Amino acid sequence: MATREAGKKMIMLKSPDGMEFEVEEAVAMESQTIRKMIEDDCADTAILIPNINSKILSRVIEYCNKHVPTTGATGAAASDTVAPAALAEDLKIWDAEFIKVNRATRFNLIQAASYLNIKGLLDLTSQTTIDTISDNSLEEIRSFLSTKNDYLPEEEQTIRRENQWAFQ
Amino acid sequence: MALSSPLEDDDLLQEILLRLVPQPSSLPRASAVCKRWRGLLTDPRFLHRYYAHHRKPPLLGVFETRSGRNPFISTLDSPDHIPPERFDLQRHDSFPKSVLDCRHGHVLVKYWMREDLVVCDPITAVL
Repeated sequence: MATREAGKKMIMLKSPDGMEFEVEEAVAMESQTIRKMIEDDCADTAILIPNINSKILSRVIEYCNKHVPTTGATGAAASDTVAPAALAEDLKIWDAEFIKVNRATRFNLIQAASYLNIKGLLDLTSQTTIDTISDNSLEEIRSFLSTKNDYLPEEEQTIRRENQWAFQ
Repeated sequence: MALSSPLEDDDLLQEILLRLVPQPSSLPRASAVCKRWRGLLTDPRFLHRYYAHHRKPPLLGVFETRSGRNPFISTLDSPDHIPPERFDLQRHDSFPKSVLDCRHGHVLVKYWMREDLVVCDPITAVL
């Protein structure tokens, strides 16, 4: 339900496990999916966020809360007092701490960021996943991401031979 | 959470793989992980997004222009060190030529024996 608190429009987000989160509309609109719902007038009551449990949803809201002042219409106030570069640096440090989560949580955050269409969060979570595997061997990547090697040995040999230099 | 791993969702896996560093060895190596990854990574729509995401392609190397053969010299270390034969401008024919310019993955070539200029794709060596 949309209410007013200290002049700020509030939006209620509900997780499928029954938790409710009241957030500023500007924070909720960091999600392009929610923004569209609000703009299309589909959000006059509480918005149910399917598939995202309260633990993950609260982390997503935490992310949006932190990121809202530097983007969108409410950004002006914050950037008046702090230099943009310092602000960006602060956000980077905050992001690095925020993403120190286990693999399952990070994967859930990727799914949430994708469904809610929050570009910054999708960038952060996907990039962190790639960074954790980028220096690893193929075997380590498969084991870390629980991906099964379904190549026949000779097929894998052929692929390696095609671009042998890339495997040296 | 009802959903399974994002790695099982092609869209999300693509989203993650888009962030592979734009170095020459990245996609060939990731393609060797499993068949599904190879399928996604060689999909032209993925490659289009990959180029758009990283915007500026890396400098792979230079063509040594002191002779009419113009061998390719990689400026990157292993595993991104592409061997000269991969971008062999003499693969199509052995006539001596000069490299005039490189742009968007294509090379502008002047044959010593001809008046006109030729654009060459060094990956396929097609003129």
